[in-house]
Amino acid sequence: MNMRKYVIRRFIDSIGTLFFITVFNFFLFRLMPGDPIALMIRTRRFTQSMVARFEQIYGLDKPMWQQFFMYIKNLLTFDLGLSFAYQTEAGPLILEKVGNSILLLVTAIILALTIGTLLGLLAGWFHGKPIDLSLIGTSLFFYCMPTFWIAMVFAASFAGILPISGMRTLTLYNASWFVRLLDLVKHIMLPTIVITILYIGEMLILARNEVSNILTQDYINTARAKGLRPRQIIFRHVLRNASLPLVSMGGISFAFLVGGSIQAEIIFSWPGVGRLMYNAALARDYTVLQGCFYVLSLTVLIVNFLTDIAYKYLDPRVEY
Amino acid sequence: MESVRSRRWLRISGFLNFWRVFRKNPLGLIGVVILACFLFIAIFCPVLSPYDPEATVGEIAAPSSPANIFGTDQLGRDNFSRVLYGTRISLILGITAAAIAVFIGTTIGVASGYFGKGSGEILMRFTDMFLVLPQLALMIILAALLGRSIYIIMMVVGVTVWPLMARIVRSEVLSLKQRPFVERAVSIGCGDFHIVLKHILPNVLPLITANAILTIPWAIISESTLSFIGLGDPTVVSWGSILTSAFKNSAIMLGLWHWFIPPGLAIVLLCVSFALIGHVADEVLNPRLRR
Repeated sequence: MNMRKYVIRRFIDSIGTLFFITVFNFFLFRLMPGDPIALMIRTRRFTQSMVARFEQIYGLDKPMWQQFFMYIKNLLTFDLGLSFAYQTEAGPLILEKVGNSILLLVTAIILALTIGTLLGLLAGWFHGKPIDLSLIGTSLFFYCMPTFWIAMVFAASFAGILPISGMRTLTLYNASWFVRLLDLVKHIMLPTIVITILYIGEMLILARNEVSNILTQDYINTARAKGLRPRQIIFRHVLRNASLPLVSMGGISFAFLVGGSIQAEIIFSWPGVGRLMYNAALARDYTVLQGCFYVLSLTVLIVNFLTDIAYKYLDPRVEY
Repeated sequence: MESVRSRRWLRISGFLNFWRVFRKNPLGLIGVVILACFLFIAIFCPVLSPYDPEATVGEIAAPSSPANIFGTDQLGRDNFSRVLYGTRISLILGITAAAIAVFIGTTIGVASGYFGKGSGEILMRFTDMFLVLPQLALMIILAALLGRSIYIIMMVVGVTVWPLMARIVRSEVLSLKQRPFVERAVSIGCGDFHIVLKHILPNVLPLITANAILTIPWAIISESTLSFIGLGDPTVVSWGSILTSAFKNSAIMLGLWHWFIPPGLAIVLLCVSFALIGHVADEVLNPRLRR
């Protein structure tokens, strides 16, 4: 199957999943006992115009199927409705946070992939040796830690050394760009480390199993026999072959990583989608909750689509 | 009669065999010992804890002292007693939620593996879609909508962690289906239901058992995360809710380590014990070629 055909199939597939997410989101809110939206309008004090806006968005007086089509139309135009808590449009509220979350996620994923692969390579190379066992043990330990707790421990340990809250120091707003960049780096340090720790364990174990598996293959024996140095074997034969499952794993566990970043954002008050979702959950702000969920699912979907294509590029043999 | 008795005997001796191999692995034994300690605490926490976990017994957010070794929380309740009582909810919830996930995952996995093309494919597509959803976000939204009872939290966790299980089971069933004994059963005219129940399920059981144990830590962590986010059951004491109150009362800024380290360590230890048992059980039950 050639590349273009593959991309198209995967794209159609992603659209299917997007449709599923949309339908899921719709029914989640319609089938709730007691119709949360109607309840919300009744219990909160909304102005007449806001109630009218609600009715316009949700079409509460119309039959279900019409509501559904209105819902789809609203989502496609990114009209996510009104926030109960902030009393503004939810769409822009969420969108302005997306960039901050992506910055955090991308930094963490790059760090985790590099460090995790290198450590996994180390563990796989010394399969069964003390260094392997201690790496596996440590990653198992980290795997069993709730992210928000690691974040709390880090925040308490580094309070006073590194900033533990927010994204930038407000007093530096008109400093030079270099000072502000440095400030951002300082702020991003702790949340990234926390998400990376969460992710490294998984990457490490996968890379280790992959590497120790590859090392038993005949072509490695051949490489050894023809006198290649360990460095050459690692770069030419092991890493090349181990990169494939790592790429696909990176895509699959991205959804998991999003969960970690939500928690890190809460603890470190990082102004991202996760923190917004936390505040919305506390305030029972259903529209913003739904919007955040939609945006996060969409992000995961796009990342998965891109990893699948990367995978096909790396390994053209892969079939749909 | 005879066959029933011999089958029961087989089952018991099977477990003994399993235990014989299992106990040789020090890691697995460590896991069992830790788990036994937690079970002991969960059963006897009314006797072990010095105070009623809901009663105000000291000053507000007091530091640790001989009377309250983990200090007190924002309502003056004894943190040590609360950590002990939290064991119950984590154990019960972790196991129940994992059981729900295993049930759904196994059903869908076996069905989609056994019915291969057509309906099986559709089921797997459905599973894949669930895998794409960010789990924690899904849990937050479900818990926020459905309410804060402990049963709902169990359902929410169970319903969100099944897809991985379904995938694992499916791939095993797909390969089992090609084996001669299934072909034989088909050729002598056994029905689908009979084949699944008598030939497929017993053979995926080891895989399911090991993965079920490995699902428990994930369920425990999910529950504590939901409680931490403030979506847990407010009427029960859980480790997550102790951590929330520590976070909300700025224990981090004030450096009140005695408040947020014990419940977190408890989560880690309990999860490590299940993870160790699960890993060793997997090695024993599903042996692979070793180097």
